Amino acid sequence: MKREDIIFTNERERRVYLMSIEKILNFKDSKVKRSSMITSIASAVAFLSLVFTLFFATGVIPGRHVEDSTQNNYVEYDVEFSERYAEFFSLTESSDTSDVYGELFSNGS
Amino acid sequence: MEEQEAVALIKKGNMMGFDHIYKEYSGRIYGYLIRMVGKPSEAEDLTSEVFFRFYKGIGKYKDRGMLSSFIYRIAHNAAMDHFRKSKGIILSYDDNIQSNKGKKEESPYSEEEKMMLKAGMSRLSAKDRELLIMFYISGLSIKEIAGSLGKSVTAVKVSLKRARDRLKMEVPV
Repeated sequence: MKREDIIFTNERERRVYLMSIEKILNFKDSKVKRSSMITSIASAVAFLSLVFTLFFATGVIPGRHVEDSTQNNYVEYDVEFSERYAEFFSLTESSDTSDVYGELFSNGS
Repeated sequence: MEEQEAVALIKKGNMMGFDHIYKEYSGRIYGYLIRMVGKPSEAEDLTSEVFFRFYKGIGKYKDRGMLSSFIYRIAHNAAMDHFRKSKGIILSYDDNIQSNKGKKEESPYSEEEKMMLKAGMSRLSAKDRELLIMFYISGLSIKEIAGSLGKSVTAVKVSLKRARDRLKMEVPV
């Protein structure tokens, strides 16, 4: 049986058949449109990510420079802090308290 | 062409299978829907919707199931959606419907009896009417009705008996 050979018993049967086929074709069409839209969005995203990767790699977008300056600040702060820390300990070590402790231990023993 | 063969063709995207199923079921589904909704134009719209949903949902159909139950279930859902949209108003019940072969069904009842039956059917709830249409007019088996309504065979038997009793009360003989 070929598709063209479908014989309708009455006008109503033919009308309903055409309505069904129209709905099916619209559905198929929307499915195709949806999948092509998804494909184009995916390719656009891939293209943009490639472009940004290239920009970062070539330094057109100065992302690394910003990172370095932040790191320097942190290092400077860190150094300053450790200097103060060291200074504090050197003070406590040289203060009289260590002698007091030393005396206490020597008396105890 | 066998039904399962037609279904396999549709699943492969061949519309020849769809044509076969349409020829096989469109008359029965239209008959069921017009008795449910009353208006020929609405029944036509719903029939086309049923065949569209059938095509869309054919992937969910398991080969071991009954195809008639599957299609009638779609038709039942389409009718229920229609009632929900039209707030459950049943317009009329018309039994002057042509069969698949385009001829009026022969009836052993007189015109007066038919009128009384129509009136009685119109007064029944959509559920009762649906059961009676499926069993007595569409000629579905209890098992097929159970499959299409998602109920057990026993539940359908009980509901059918109650629907018949209610129709008897509506149509005094």
